[in-house]
Amino acid sequence: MTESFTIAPVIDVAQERHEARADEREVVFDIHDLTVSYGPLTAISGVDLQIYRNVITAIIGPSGCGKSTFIRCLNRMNDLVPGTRIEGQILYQGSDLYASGVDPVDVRRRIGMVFQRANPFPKSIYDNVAWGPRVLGMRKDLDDRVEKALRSAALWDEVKDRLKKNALSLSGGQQQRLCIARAIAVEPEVLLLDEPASALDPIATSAIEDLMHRLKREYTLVIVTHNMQQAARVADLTAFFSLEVDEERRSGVLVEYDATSKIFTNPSDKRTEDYVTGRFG
Amino acid sequence: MAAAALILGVGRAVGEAIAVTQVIGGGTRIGWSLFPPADTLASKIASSYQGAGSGLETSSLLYLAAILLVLGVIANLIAQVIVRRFDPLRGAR
Amino acid sequence: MSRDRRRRIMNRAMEVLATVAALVAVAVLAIVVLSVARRGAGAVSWDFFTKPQALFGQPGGGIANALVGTALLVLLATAIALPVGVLTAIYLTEFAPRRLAVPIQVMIDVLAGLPTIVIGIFVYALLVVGHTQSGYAGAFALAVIMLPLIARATQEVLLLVPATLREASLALGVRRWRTVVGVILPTSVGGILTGTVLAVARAAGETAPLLFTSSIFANTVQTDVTKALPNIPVLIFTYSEQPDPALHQQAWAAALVLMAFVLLASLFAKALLARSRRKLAR
Repeated sequence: MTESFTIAPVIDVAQERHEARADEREVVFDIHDLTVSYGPLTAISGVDLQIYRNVITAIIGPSGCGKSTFIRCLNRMNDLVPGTRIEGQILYQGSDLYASGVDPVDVRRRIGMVFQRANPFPKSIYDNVAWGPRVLGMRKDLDDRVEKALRSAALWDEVKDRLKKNALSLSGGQQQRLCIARAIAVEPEVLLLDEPASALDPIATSAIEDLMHRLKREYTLVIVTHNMQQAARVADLTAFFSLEVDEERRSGVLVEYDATSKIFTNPSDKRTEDYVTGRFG
Repeated sequence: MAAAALILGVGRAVGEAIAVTQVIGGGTRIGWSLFPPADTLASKIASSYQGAGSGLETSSLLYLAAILLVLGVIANLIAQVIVRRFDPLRGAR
Repeated sequence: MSRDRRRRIMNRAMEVLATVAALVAVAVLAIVVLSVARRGAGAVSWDFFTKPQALFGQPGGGIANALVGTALLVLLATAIALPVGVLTAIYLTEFAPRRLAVPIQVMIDVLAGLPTIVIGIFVYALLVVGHTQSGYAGAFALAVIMLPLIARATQEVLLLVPATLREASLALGVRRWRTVVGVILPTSVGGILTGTVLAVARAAGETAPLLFTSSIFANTVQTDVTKALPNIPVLIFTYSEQPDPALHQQAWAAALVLMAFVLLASLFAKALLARSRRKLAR
């Protein structure tokens, strides 16, 4: 099945990227000394990071350095893994995400997630997008909501005539855009994307990347990727994680966090330089 | 695994009442020969169900049922122990 | 004899043995089916299905009352066993902590293997002693037999649902229970239905549990569930114990009807399973 995309004008990536400076942007996530362990294993330790509004932040690093673990803390998906211990603080728009009164289910509605492999429900295309809002009580104007979400995901033109068809009949790239539409339909504020294009071919990947540029106008995006070129193409800010091994344990740490262009052309830390120049990882 | 299946099968066979009742005839001798009419625990319960008048008779039928219950549960539990120990995939639900 | 040659002979011997054993199993089934068909076919007629049992000593009559009774009993039993079985399976796979899940699982498996006559006596002691036999008691006994079958079948399909689907739903901000009802159950309906059909086929033919709970019944069509309901398995059993050869003939015919039902139900269940597999795989 050939990919067709509805994004006609080629977006000039260089112009779209804003070199974000800390004093200009509103902080969405304020993360202090975050340490996550699964039982005896420490996945990440001592992470300090701020995520800014309407900015695409990429998390890069070698496999096993805790990128997915980190991003899953932001919408409390790690709560679902038994034995997870989270230390440190994550402030979302000023409030503690893990405070005792906070409902993780509500957190997940406001902070959406798209996964590595597209996982649409075995329902129709329409129902995939409409089910979330319907279940969460957003029942008015469901048709409009579905159309808006599908348009935002650059999928509307391709599926508007077959909304009742099973979602599994779409191609891989279309399914992933459907998952993005599904996530958008419940009106989140943040979108977390865990390697969203790693299972897709280059054309579908390109469609997703263009989509992200459009989405950042309305949402804050955090993307985990093991593909450095993708981070360079897409992200405004890039955080480089790596593995730190000492006598007691090995865990992921944040090595460097800066504007993407700086990370890739003139990194401050030697470990970053080694990684982006391909010397390891 | 075959042992577990065997034990489960034996458990089911011990408890089978109707099929046995129809062919076993019903008799009260104690002996090793398989040829004359006889009874099993289950068939005794099944054939006496209507005739049980006095409280004693009902109670003794219930007693038979209790023995059958214990036998059935033991056979089942042994089979489960075997399965769970030797096939962790199936037991690890 | 070289080792290789000996191994080949052993292999062949095992093959032959296994084939013979399989053939014996099939042959037993064939013998049962054929002899029931042969002896029962003669009495099967339109009257057989539509007339109730004849009065004592009178010729003719059919199994209409038993058919209706069995249908009612099985329907009622399914109404009890299906929701309880499905909910139990959902609890075990989605919500139960490890410490609880294992013992419950063990108990369900034990229940599945209990001699049905023991279940019948238990329900008798629970619901019949002090009252009378009733359709409720019979249906309850059948439900107890159906429950582990439905629960196990449901569990199997629930576990087949990929974790990514659960994750996708939870990541949307949908609650656990709603995820089960809206995503996981609809995906599992095919398997649940199959398990239910098989459980129904099993329950329709169980005699022992009904012996104590719904065996003393009238010759007429009975729909009052508070009284003992006529049913096919007990009819076959009691007819077969009578001296009258005409009744024997009717017993064979009733057995043929029952057997045909079970065979058809099993085939239907297989077709359902194949269809639901295809839907998921697309």
